[in-house]
Amino acid sequence: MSAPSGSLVSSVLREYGEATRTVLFEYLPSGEPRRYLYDLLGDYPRRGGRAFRPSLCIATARAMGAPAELALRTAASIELIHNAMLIHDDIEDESEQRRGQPALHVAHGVPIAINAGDMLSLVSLRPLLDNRAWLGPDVSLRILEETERMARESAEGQAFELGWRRDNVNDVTESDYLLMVLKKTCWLATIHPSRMGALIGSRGAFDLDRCIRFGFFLGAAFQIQDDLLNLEGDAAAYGKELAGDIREGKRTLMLIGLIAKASPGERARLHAMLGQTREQRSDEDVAWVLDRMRFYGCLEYARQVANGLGGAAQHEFQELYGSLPDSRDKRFLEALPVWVIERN
Amino acid sequence: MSEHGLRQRRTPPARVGPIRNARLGPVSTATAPVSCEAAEPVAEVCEALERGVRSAYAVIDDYMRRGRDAARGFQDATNRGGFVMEDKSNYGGFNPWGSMPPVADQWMAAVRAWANAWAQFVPGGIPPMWNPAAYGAGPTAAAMPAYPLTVQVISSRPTEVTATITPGCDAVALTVEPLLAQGFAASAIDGVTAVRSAGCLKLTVKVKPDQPEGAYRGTVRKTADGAAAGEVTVVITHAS
Repeated sequence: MSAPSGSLVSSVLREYGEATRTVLFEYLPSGEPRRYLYDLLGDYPRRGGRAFRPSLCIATARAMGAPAELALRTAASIELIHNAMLIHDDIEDESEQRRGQPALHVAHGVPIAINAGDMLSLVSLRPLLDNRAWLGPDVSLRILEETERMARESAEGQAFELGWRRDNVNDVTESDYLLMVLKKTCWLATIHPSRMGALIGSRGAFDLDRCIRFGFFLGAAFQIQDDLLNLEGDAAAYGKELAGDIREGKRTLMLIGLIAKASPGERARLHAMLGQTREQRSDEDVAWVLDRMRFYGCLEYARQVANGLGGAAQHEFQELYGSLPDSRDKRFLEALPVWVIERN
Repeated sequence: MSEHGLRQRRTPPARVGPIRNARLGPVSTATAPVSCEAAEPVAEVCEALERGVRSAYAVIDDYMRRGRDAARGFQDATNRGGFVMEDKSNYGGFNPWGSMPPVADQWMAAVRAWANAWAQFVPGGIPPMWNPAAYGAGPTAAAMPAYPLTVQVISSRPTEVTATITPGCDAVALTVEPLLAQGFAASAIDGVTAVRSAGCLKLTVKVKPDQPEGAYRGTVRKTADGAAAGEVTVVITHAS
């Protein structure tokens, strides 16, 4: 990625992230019970984050000619839902860290964290209801419908992943994985923000299904790069425990590749290890899996697939937004496929 | 065929498919870009890349196809009679029960148009910013929902009124200029008003009893900036 594109993405993310967080915090209740509920709602948002999702929404709306103001509430809602899902994901995945600090359930206990996640999901609806004053009832209702669909797709994707781990399913194919990623990651991370931006920017005139392909390739490249960073990223920058995905038994592209390439003996050991609980998997197990992944070139393979998906996202970008007039926001969207695979 | 009788051939294109490799610019990381279009591509890596992208295209194509099939299947079921929502496919539908049947779709569209129209009069309703002139040229203006137009004519003689309002302009305050006689000398018809009321734009034309017969025409303008927003034509005929 050229330096100008990289700095453009960074500056847009910073600018739209700040604008989104300003609106987001206005929606966080401050009454009682603060200690057990409301003080916790702003915990994850205060820890930072790239604001990739809300920025994608705002930039798409602006690239189509809408002022950022019209997309801010929807962007804030997307970020609220994202944070709500992170709280529940961390519990489901038994993750210990989030954005460099203890996960919410680690700090406050599982029951309190689940309840906070539920409340954050509910709070995310308020800006969408307030959209009516800015966007009118028609577009506002469509955004609510779209949000319901996104939540459904995300839950289905999460169900795939959780089910595979619970039942120790080891014949997951690459296509299974990509469908899971489409639902679990892409809908919230890229497809939904793109669709919402296009809906707001076009006042409902744009065919939203056209956003699915761009969002899928961009989001899948994003997810694979995220999985790679989990294995070999910089611990401080990543903000989560390294190799946590192996410890959690997540069916990543690298693990699927390893299962396919491993010798019968290695496959048996892998199957036994994946059948254990998170606590039963030792540091040695995790190190062994990582070593075998490197040995069989699974990391490099995943990296190349992410590159290929990034290229496909660039192709889809031209199909989708190529005819839009040049703007800073259009250039930001165009730079995202490269950014997602080169971020660290 | 050339003048020499030999078929001229174009140089084969270097590439026939979309670019699959996103690393098109300078690469800042340690990983070097891999190009399958190079003379001697790294076969293994290129194979992986191609296979991964092929899988991804197959997945998204299948996802989109299932959505279309679900919608088509539902429509067929509806056409056979009944609106029993048996199609609960989660691929590509806009609600958990698949696509809406056409009648329900129209009903929802009507309800939305009604709700949008009423929102103009609700405190905190759609502010002036929400108009097509404020942003978004091109398809957005054309996609503006059409507001109902009511015409009230107060006249003792047969009077035909034709009004054209630019799409989207019915959502803002309008002023109608006096209607001037077309091709004959007569006083203008003034006092024509265009007011949003009860969810629709209401045009009121009052014709004086002694107004000469003939055609009168006037421009509708946006009150805020005076830009043209349409036209009103009134034709007064003799009572039979």
